[in-house]
Amino acid sequence: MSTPRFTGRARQYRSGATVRILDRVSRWAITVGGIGTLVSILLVSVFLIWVAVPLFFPTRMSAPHRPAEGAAALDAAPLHLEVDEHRRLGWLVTREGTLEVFRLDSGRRLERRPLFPEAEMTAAAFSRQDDRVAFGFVDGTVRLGRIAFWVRFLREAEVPPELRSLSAGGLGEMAGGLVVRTPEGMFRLQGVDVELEPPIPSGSAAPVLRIDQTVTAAGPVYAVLTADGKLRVNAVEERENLLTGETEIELAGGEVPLAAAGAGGLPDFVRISGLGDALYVAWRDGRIQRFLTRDPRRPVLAETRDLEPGPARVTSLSWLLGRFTLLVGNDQGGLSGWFLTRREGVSTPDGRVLTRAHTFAPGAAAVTAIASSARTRLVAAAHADGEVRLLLATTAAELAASRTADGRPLAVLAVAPREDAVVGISASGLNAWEVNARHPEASLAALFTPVWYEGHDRRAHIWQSSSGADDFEMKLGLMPLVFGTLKATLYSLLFGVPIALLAAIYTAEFMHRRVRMLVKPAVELMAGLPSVVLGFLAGLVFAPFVEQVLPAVLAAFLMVPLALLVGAYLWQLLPAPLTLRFSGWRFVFIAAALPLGILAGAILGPAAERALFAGDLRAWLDGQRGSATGGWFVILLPLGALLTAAGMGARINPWFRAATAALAPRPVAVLDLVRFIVGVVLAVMIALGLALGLTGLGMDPRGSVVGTYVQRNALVVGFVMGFAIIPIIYTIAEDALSAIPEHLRSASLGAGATPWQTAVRIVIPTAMGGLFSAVMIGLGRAVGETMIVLMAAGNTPLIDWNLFNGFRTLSANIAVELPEAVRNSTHYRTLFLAALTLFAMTFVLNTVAEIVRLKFRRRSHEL
Amino acid sequence: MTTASEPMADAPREPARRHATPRPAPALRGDRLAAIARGEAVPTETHRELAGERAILEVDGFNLWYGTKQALHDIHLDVPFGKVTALVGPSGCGKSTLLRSVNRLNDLLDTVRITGDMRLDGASIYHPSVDVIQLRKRMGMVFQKPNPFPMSIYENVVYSLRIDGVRDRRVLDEVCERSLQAAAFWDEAKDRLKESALGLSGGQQQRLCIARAIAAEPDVLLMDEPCSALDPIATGKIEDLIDALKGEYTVLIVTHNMQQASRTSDYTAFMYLGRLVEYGPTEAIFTRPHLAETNDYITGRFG
Ligand SMILES: Nc1ncnc2c1ncn2[C@@H]1O[C@H](COP(=O)(O)OP(=O)(O)O)[C@@H](O)[C@H]1O
Ligand SMILES: [Mg+2]
Repeated sequence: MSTPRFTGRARQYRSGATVRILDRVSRWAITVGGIGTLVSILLVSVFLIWVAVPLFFPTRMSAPHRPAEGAAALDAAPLHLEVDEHRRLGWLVTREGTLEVFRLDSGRRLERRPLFPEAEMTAAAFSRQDDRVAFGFVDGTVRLGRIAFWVRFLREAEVPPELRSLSAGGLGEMAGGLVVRTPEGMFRLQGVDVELEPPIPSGSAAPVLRIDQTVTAAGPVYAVLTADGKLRVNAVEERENLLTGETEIELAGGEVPLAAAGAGGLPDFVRISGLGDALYVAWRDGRIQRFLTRDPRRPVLAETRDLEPGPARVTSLSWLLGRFTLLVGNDQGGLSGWFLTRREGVSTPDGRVLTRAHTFAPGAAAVTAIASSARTRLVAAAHADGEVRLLLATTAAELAASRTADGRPLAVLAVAPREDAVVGISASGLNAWEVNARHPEASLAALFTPVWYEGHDRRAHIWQSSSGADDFEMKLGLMPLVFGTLKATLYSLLFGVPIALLAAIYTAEFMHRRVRMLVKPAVELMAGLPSVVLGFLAGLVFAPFVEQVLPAVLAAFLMVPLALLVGAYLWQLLPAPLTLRFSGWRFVFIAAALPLGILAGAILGPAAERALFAGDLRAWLDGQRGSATGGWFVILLPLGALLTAAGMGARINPWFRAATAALAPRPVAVLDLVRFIVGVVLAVMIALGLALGLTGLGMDPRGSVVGTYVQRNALVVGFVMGFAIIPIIYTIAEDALSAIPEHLRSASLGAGATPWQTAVRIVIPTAMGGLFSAVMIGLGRAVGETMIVLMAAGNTPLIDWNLFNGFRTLSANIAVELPEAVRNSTHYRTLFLAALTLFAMTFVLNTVAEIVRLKFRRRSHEL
Repeated sequence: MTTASEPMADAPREPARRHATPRPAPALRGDRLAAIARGEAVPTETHRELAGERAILEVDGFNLWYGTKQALHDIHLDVPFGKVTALVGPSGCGKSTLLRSVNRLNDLLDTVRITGDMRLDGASIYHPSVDVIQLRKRMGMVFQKPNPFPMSIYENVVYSLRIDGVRDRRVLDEVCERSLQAAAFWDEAKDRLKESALGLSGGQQQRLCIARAIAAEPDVLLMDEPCSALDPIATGKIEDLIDALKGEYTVLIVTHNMQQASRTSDYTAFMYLGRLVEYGPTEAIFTRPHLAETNDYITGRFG
């Protein structure tokens, strides 16, 4: 309480209750809001990490599980082993041609069935991917067929009474197979089905020693080596006899010229490729011959190579999924992957050579068995010391390793269809490992370093997440997307930043206040244009238009600045009273340079196309015609202009100023114009000289920064996205420039500097922090921009600097692929990782921008 | 751009009346300040001694408007060559405006309109054909608040040479040293020429700004309350400096500080509400002004 003194009014010194409540409420609201924002940003990144991080969880392999009962009853050295997708059943085929079906949990044999009771089987081939089998017999005949698991759900009535009380997950045996009570309470009957076609001749009566088969679009193709040393390839054509209704088999094949290859001894391995177009014949010493069997009637030797140049001997040769990559195991424990690549200057008829693309970390002892998954490039390899390793062919990475329970080597090995188990048989019986292969295809190496993908000629960064084929190799290289993001950003900044900054400088430093008050909101309004509209215009209107008038567009890029400069010099020529009279209209004159430059471009473009690009720019870009000079000339023209400007600034201008100091403004303006024209001519000459020089050195810009023209390309995106980022850069830059204290400008102008000198020497350097932030914020916008690139960039994930080629950005990739990615799949998580990468990129950019901005701000604080 | 550069005939709000200067000084009495406040025109009391000086800058019937508000009324002021002339008067009376009009910094404001003219060495300042840039190069300006550029001390000093395109290192070095010496700042600055000028103290910054102004070899040095942001010690240094510049440079200085005006200047002009009230030798203005109003002001009875 106080007594009234000055105003006669007693003042309450305590704040009122409402004031205090409002104060408290607002403090709470602000605190909650602020912390909430931080937390939600944090949560977003935590969520991205949460989804993406399992990609890098290691593959786990359990200790070996050894079913005790009956395990010993199984054949100790079978030819082939398969496991069903539910991991309940297994089958194997013995050397005698007997099929054994057994339970995986106990190892108990359910069935033992001689496949060929009346014939002696001498060779067999199995294909895990399509369940196909081929058997060769002592009489030289061959039988093709399928051995596959089948599943059928039983009606309650069909289930034997003693099995009806099975609990969920319980197993029971009945005639024909294994009954499994599913968690849903259904009864699932599983068994193994064998379909064998009647014997067909191999072309020789001698016993079959080696056999392999594949099924192509035209039908099965098999290769058979018989004991008489003959190797034949046969394509089987099944034809329905229209009269009898029976299917008739027709064989088309030929003998492979083995002897011509001068091979000593009969080959140990015969392998036919998935498309049936290549037959590989290999010996244990590592020698391998490849025959072209596209026409099976006339196999041709393509090449002879050595799989093991050292003393090592091949112990195992098997196909990776897709039958294109050969996995080679040797007696030293070494393991490698080989496939055909195209090489310059090789003498093979098809220009390809078998190349060692993957070298896996070697095991300690000889490779005894190799099994490839039927789903991915996962490979299991067994070694003589009992070691079992899980490998990924794509990156040649070892994912996990274990050892058989008693250290005995596995004779056969199978990867369960869902890749959740590896099963093998050693001399002491069955060994099974539970496998948790989370996302083997995604590793840091696979994502960010070049990888040698199957069928490619070299290591490369490739993004290709899906395809129509089952045996497709996932290509998860993120670099093309990162590159696309950077390319989009770079080209749009290249276009947008100069325009935005120059416009901001002009507005802040030279524009009349009243015009400025109109222009600034108008440009800011541009920022409100939805990017989907811009993208739509870019993709559907602008891209086709640019494609049609490309020479004019490129010419306009050069002519607009030129028109501005010419306009400035002509302005000087006007008598002083006139310039004063029209000084308020200067902005209009400057704006007029744009249409004039475009017009000049439209007129000059086609002429330049004729003169520089042999009359057809796009054909020139394709590299079909014309010399490199024209392209170099256009590319080097800005450089020529810069060199000329720098040279003139350093040498000619001081002299010019001194020489013309005494003259009246008019003659100086004329001389100035002459000087400018000389400069332009000089710039053209420099560009032309450099262009001729570079062409003379044999260099060609095509294939690097320019190249084949694609309708949706970086030029279009750069232009439209530049347009999208101009408003934001402009606004922030203009604010930064306007914020420079007036007293600095006054000091500079007071010292006799022109407004332009003041802008360049004082205002811009002082506002550098703000200008930098403006560019960085534009950059951030360009990095994250989605709709424009989605609609105008063509979305081809290429690493190619070509201005006229498309690209795919991280953001567009996420937008395109996430809707169709299977939840929690490798693909899905990789897309989240792409989002995280994008986040990291913008985070780094923003942090750098912030640091630089703070540094600048500390400086301007001292003003 | 600015209406200030338009021909004079455009739109004078008040007709520019011409006075013969200098005139004999009648010992006038009466309430001039009240008359000025009422908006009446009151003739300037210009002392006879000024007739003997060679004027380098002549202000001749100068009027200036900010929008519709007139800030300068019919100013007649001849600044003698090689002397220090102080402009005194209460805040808002138009001292800064007058100073900024001399080197046409007011051109930059697009609300400013002027009538009348000023002449530098007999050549018009406001004629449309005048090259403003060239004009400003003949005048150095020091502002109220020290405003060094955010660059090194060295670059600050040689700024006016830089914008003239001088690149010769020897010339630059020499000008830098001489200007800093003239601004009594060389001893403090010579070891830190490459350091940022923003790290200097206020007094140092102001002496740097003076060195920068001197480096341009101006005909007239315009100073707008150069000491008002400084402490007494720095102020003393600047005042000594102004004393030292006397004779070589013509200085037109605005000050709030009566003692400073009396200590440093040769002539003093007293302004009130946009009008020049009395103008004469400093000694006369401070000891025996012709007008009672001037006396009241300088003795601190108002303002
Ligand atoms: N930029 C401006 N726009 C409008 N009025 C101004 C501006 N600058 C100064 N004035 C006005 O002009 C008058 C003179 O100001 P000024 O020359 O700064 O006075 P002083 O320097 O004597 O204190 C003041 O009334 C002030 O309000
Ligand atoms: Mg002032």
